[in-house]
Formats: sequence, C-alpha cells, structure tokens
Amino acid sequence: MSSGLAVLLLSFAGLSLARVPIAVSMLVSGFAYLAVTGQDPGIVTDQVMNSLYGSYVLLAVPMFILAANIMTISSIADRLFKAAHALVGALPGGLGHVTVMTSMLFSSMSGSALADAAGPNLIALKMMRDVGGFRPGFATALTAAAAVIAPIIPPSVPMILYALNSGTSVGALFLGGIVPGLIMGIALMVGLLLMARRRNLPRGERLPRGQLGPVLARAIIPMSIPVVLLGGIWTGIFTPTEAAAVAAVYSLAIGVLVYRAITWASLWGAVVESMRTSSSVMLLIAGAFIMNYAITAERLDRVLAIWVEGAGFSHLEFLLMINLVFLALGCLIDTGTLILVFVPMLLPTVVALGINPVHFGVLMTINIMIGLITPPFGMLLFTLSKLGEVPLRAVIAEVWPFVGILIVVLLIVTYVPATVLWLPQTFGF
Amino acid sequence: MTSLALFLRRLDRVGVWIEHLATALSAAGFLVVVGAFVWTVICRYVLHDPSTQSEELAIVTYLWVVTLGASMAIRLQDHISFDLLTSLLPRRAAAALAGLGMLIAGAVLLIALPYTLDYIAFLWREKTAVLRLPLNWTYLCFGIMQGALGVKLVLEALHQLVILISDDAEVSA
Repeated sequence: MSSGLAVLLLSFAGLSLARVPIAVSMLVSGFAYLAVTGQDPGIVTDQVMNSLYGSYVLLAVPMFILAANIMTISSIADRLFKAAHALVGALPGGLGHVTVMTSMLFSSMSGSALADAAGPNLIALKMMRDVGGFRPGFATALTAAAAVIAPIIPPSVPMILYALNSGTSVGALFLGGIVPGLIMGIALMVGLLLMARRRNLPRGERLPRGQLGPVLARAIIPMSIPVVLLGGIWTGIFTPTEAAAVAAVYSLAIGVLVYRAITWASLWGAVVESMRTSSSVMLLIAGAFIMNYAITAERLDRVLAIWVEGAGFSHLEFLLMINLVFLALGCLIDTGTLILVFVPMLLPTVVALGINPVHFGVLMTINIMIGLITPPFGMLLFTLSKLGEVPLRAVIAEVWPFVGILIVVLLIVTYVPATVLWLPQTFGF
Repeated sequence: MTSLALFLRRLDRVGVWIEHLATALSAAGFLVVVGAFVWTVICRYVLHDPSTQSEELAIVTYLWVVTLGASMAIRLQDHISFDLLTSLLPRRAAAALAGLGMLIAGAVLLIALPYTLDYIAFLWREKTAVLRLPLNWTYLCFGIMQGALGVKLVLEALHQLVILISDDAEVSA
C-alpha cells in the first residue's frame, strides 16, 4: 500500500470515528492524500466542481426529495393507507399487511426509505400500535422492514447515485428494481400471515361493500403519479431526471389544486427540508468525488479486480461475498457513502466477472437497504424508534424475522438474475 | 474557561443568524432550481424548443444552493456522521476525541483554503458553456463552503474543549 493511500484511508477512518461528518472526512482525506502525494490541493475543487457541474442527472435527487416531501404534507399518504386497508385489512394481521401495501404504493412515488418511514409508514405504525393492538416493538419493526422497499421499487435515489457512478442507465435500474421490490413486499406479507396465526395478531375489520369503491376511488389520483412518472420514463417521453421534475410538480398540483391540503407555510417547510436533505446528500457526493479520484489514481479498483480474478472466485461466490460485506457495512455506514465510495472500486471486478451492472446495482441497493434495519445500528430502526416513541430495545427484539425474510429475498435475487434483468431486457435495455 | 464559554455563546448567537439567512437564501435558490428545471422540461416537451439557458441556470444555482446549504444552513451535528464510537465512550473521552477530530479537520480545510482560492482565481478566463458566466465566480461557492466548514469545525472543537474542561472541574470538585 502506498503512503498516499494509507493516509487517505487512515485519515478517513480516524476522522469519521471522531464524529466528524462523513462528507467532511472525505474532503479532508482528499486534501491529505494530495499533500502526501505532492499534488496540487486545487485538484479537490477541480474534481468536485467539474463533476457536479457536469452531472445533470444529479438534479433528479433534489426533485425526488421535494416530491416525497410534498406528498408527505398533502393527504396522499392518508389516502393510500385507507385504500390499502380496504384491500388487505381483513387478512389475519390486517394492519400489518396494510402497512406493507401502503409502503409498496408509496414506494412507486418516492425514492427514499427515510421519506417512506417518516411519511405513510409513520401513520401505519401509529395505527398498528394505537388502534390495531399490535405490540409497539413489533409494529415498529414491521414498519421499518416495509420502508426498505422504497428505494427498490422506482423511483430510487440510491439507484440514481449508482447510475451516476457506474454509467448504467437509470431507466434500466428503475425497471430492474420492480420485480425484486414486489417480491420483497409479497414475502413480508406471507411472513406476516404465518406469524399472525402463531402470535395471534389482530385481524382488521372488513370494509362494508358499499364503501370499498369510494375509498379506492379517493386513491386513484395519487396512484396516477407512478403511472405518469414511470410510464413517461419507459415510453421515452421524458428522461428519469426530467421525470423527477414532473413528479414534484404533479404532486404539488394534486396537493394544492385537488386536495387543497397544502398551505404556504407547509410548502415552505417542505422546500426548506428538501434543500437541507439535498445539500447534505450533495456534500456527501462532493466528498465521494475526491475519494474516487484518489482510489482511481492509486489503481485500487484494478488491484481488487486482479485479486478477485487471481483468487478464482466465481461470480456467484463474489456476489455472496458482496452480500455479506454490504449487509455488515449497510448497518454501519450511510447508503450514499457506500454507493459513492464502493461502486467505483468494485465495478471493474463486476465487469471482469461478467456480472451485469444493472443486476449488481439492484443487488447492492437491496443489500444496503437491509443493512438499514439490521441491529444494532440500522438507521431506520433509530429513526422509527424515535419518531414512534418506541424503545429501541423492543424494536430490535422484534426485527429479526423481517431481516431473515428480506435476506432470503436477497439470496433469490442474487442467484436468479432474471428477477432483476427480465424487465429491463424486455424493454430493450 | 468561563470567558471562552461566553465567547462561544456569543458566536453561537451570530451563527444562528447566519444559519437563518443561509437557510432563507438557499431555500429561495432551491425554488429557482426547481423553476428553471421545470421550465427546461416545458421548453423541451411543450414548446419543442429546448432551453439550454434554463438547464445551466438550474445547475449553477444548484451548485450555490448545496454548497451554501451544506456549510451554513445545516449544523455540523445534522450532517451524516458516525457517532457509534463517541456514544460508547465516557463524556470526557468522547469530547476529547470529537474535539481533536474537528480541530484537525477544520485546520486542514483552512490551511488548504488559499490553494483552493488560488485554483478558483486561476479560472478567471474560463466561462460556463451556455450563459458564459465566469467560472471563477461560479466555483467561488466551493471556497466559501470550505472556509465556512473550516471555521465551524474549529468552533465545534472549542465547544468540545469547554465540555472537556468543565467536566474536569466537576471531577476535581
């Protein structure tokens, strides 16, 4: 290992462990690397600003974040919840199924697990806990597991970041996430059915027949968002980046003109929140650009590819290794950091082993998302335990069955690439 | 030590004002980005006359929004950070570790700032592709972000020092 690389990795690890924001740790490590290798520190500005300036696709990130925040302040989440309740609420463990289905519906509009968790899933959690008679820990654990689906079913902010770093088509990744996302949702619901009998979970009330139609009709307008959004992308009417703008404007129009649920104050709040989240994500991306510069300059990606090839790993063995590593890292390190730092490092190996980058991208996203609910450090567990005012210990005790179910789905997606690749290939990607 | 704590408290008050101002400016800029981006889409698909100006306006404004937002509108503790180790340590040890880390990070950013500004100044001949904005002014936001983050990190290191010393006082008392 060269002295430059050692300084880069040690300073990044040291500063991150000292609670310095991860994005700042990356920038500082970049400066330290350039100083040790005798390069001009101005390269940091050059790499970061030129990359940001040239990455038009990045503008999709704030737009999807804004769209999710607007959906949260309008009554869209509430309407989706009621529609899901009308459909699956009467099953054993009724409100649990409603939670998973609401999450799947909202996933097709928002691209962030945290947005899902703080929006419709929080409503579902409170309903399960306060009305449905679910144990608070179980309700929170299920809500967190359901939120994991958000970045798998398109749109997806992590997939945009992966596309940015890998040169893969955003449209192909979005298509690739649909089947695995649906499998995850169905698997959670089947698991819930099995648990419902054993744990005697409460069954929801069946909606009178006359009310089913009106409740579903109230959700038709929000459900048109993914149709417009994804339909527009796949028919080639607009690009995924432009679809993000359409999503933001369309959800705003629904919230203001149709439901009249948005006030000036709530809209400004959504804009400020979106600006803050976007800025935080972009600082992370800025840091990742300079880290990637150093990794490429040190040829670390090539060294890793040669090592994997030399060790004689098959592509399935490699993917299993990636699964284990990212499940562990996903519960420690932020999603954006993992994708932005590790993708450039792993991509040459992925290509050398003949793995389809779309398959790898979806796989990596699922991996990292499961990490978000893996104890003891999963970020979604912290978020929902805080928002739902449920002790973290109670959530951790209940989350393992859901982690297990999602890992089974991960293995299926790993070993059956068609689950990811069938749709993109059907659409000609 | 009390004078340092008082001094930091006064600076914090100034910091809150700067944060409010930066939040308002960045949020307003964010609206400009959304507007320009939506206009780009409208021009392409409704008017059938792609607008490269609005596309570049969105990107340039976005650069300023996220750099100002990340450095001034968001507190350091609201950025994504890894607090596992410091949360496991005793309070004094955590303050010492975090303070040292913040001090080193802040110092590196401030020491490197002249090089960054020098690079940015060097770009005075270059212009953006469409709006022909001078690149040195366009990229100046990175220098501002680096400087602001550097100052905030050093101040945070001083805050940690106050925690460290005040705990010391309690222990000795």
